[in-house]
Amino acid sequence: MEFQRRPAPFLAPEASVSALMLHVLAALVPAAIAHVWYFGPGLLFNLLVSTVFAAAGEALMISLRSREPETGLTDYSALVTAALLAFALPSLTPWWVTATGALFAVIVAKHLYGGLGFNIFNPAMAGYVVILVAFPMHLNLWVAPSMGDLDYQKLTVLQTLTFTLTGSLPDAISFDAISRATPLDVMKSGLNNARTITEIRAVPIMGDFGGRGWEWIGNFLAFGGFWLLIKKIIRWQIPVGVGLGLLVPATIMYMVDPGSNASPGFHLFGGATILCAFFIATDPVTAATSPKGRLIYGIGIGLLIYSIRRWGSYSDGVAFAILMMNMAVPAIDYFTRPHIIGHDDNGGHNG
Amino acid sequence: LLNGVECEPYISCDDMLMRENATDVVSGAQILMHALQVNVCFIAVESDKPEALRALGEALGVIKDSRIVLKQVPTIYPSGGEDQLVQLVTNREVPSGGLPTDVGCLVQNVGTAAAVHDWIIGNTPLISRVTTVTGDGVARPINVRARIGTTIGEIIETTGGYTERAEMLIIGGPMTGKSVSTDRVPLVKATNCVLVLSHTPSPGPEMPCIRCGDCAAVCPVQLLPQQLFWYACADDEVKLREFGLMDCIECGCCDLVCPSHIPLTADFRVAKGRIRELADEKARAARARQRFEARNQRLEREKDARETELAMQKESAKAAAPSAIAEILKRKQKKTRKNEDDK
Repeated sequence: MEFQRRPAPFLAPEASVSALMLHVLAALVPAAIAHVWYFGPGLLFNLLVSTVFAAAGEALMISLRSREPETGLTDYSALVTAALLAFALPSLTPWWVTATGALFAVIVAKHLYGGLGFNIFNPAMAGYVVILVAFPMHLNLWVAPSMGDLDYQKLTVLQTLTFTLTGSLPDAISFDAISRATPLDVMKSGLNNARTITEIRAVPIMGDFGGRGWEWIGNFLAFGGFWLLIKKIIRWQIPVGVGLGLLVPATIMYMVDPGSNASPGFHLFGGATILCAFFIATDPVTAATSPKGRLIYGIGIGLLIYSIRRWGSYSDGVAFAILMMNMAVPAIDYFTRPHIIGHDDNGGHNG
Repeated sequence: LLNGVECEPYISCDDMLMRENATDVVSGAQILMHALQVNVCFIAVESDKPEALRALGEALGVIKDSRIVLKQVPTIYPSGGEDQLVQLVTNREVPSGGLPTDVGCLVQNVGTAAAVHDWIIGNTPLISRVTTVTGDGVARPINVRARIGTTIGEIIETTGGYTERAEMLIIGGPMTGKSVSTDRVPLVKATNCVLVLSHTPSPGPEMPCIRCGDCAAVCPVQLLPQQLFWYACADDEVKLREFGLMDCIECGCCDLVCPSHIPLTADFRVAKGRIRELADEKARAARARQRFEARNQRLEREKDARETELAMQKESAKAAAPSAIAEILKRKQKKTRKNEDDK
């Protein structure tokens, strides 16, 4: 009798990259629904545009680099990049802005560095920063959240689609009628104009913690994030690290001078903190890999987000914080190597 | 330290032995302790083996030896590895490249203890062992005691034969066993399992590493397989050593959790082979250099010796020269005189 041969082990692994990525996408669904609820269908159009261009960029690069298409396109990593980018953009974004970000993310940030697993920088955040630098005014076009008592004009589905395709609004509607500064912008400009927190918080767009609408999306993102934690798709170190790095300085500053420092709750639920902690910073490729290293990486991101928000000129600093910590990853990994069983702590042999 | 922890999932021969021959195991332990002059013996058994635990407990109740302690350990692969068990039971780390005896432990299998008992008390040498025959490729999975040297084919035939789709034959467990192409191989004293699978497990296409670090989380030696994989691809021997490649026990855990389905263990085995080869080559080169240098030294010595000899000859010749010249001159004079006389 003739038997087949192959090397051990003989059990097939259960996890797969594509399953991992699909889990991440699934975890974003509740927050996506909330996003559409509060800010209209713009997110869906952004998702569509970024997905199409990210997938096209991926396919182009795979064929240019003559790689196996099935290992590149079926891992769904381009989809996750596209989804995260779409989440980071305002719901009203012209298609060429989204497309620029998606193409840069996949082609330059990912494939020019060697493709999945070799990129140093988080592709979604690299794409976002390119948009931030190239089209800064488009990132200010956040429509006001749709809440019963907030009296702003709302766009219909068709009007949103038209804006996405042409970048212009119907003649009767002006930007001022539909859009408002984001809570983080309000906070930043308010503090720059030497107004107190109480005055700033009186602006109707501010909710209980991080701004109306946004804080609910934050809740659903956190819900998805906890699900990923339970499913062991992500580990606790990075989200906890980001939270610590952001909340510790925020709490200290708030306690020292509550008149001119936003509350820790505002920092936690405002802007992209939760999205960053559970979905963006946890990208395994660009994060540190050892448990201790991940905690340090997360804390670094949290500290940078706080510093940029409090002292920098941008109202939110997630993308810059992530990219800066991406650069620190090799060093973090080098200095947080776990103790190998049977070695002394200098890394040499003791036997 | 007696190892009653099964090496790998699927295997249950030690469990069977402990259930049926618990007294022999304990008695073997006593003999070993006497031979080694040690005061403590732990018998480590996994917590999911209640019957083995009970049987050993009963045997200890009868034999009453307070030096022998039954130790329950959690059922987590690869606790049955020698160094891993030492750490689990005694909390001591076996040094890299060292042996358990370096930290004052000797690990023997329960099977060895039973065999020692059979040999000393029962007067039977080690001619048979219990082995696990299992997998979905055999009709009747079973633990059998078979004579060492019996072919695997015969064992499977007597225990019920193959099922229709027996595709792979593995000697050893599913994690570290070796697949063989024929069943005409003998049972040896280390064959703890014969595994027959009806399908060839295919992990799917190999994807790029996404550095998720799941492999590092499961590594029993706390290595960083994701880093090792990079350095193995780059063939960076210094880094591979620094990151502890040679401490890898090839347990296969990292393969099993890898979402990218990278055959890490196989890659590491190859990398280890290369490093050993390189080390051999280096050793050979060092030996060759040593020989070459020794030869040069010898040649140098010989040259020196010749030169001194030559110098000594010259010296003695020089010393002898005046008298020799005088002699020659004398002879020459004699000759001329003789010639003159002849004229």
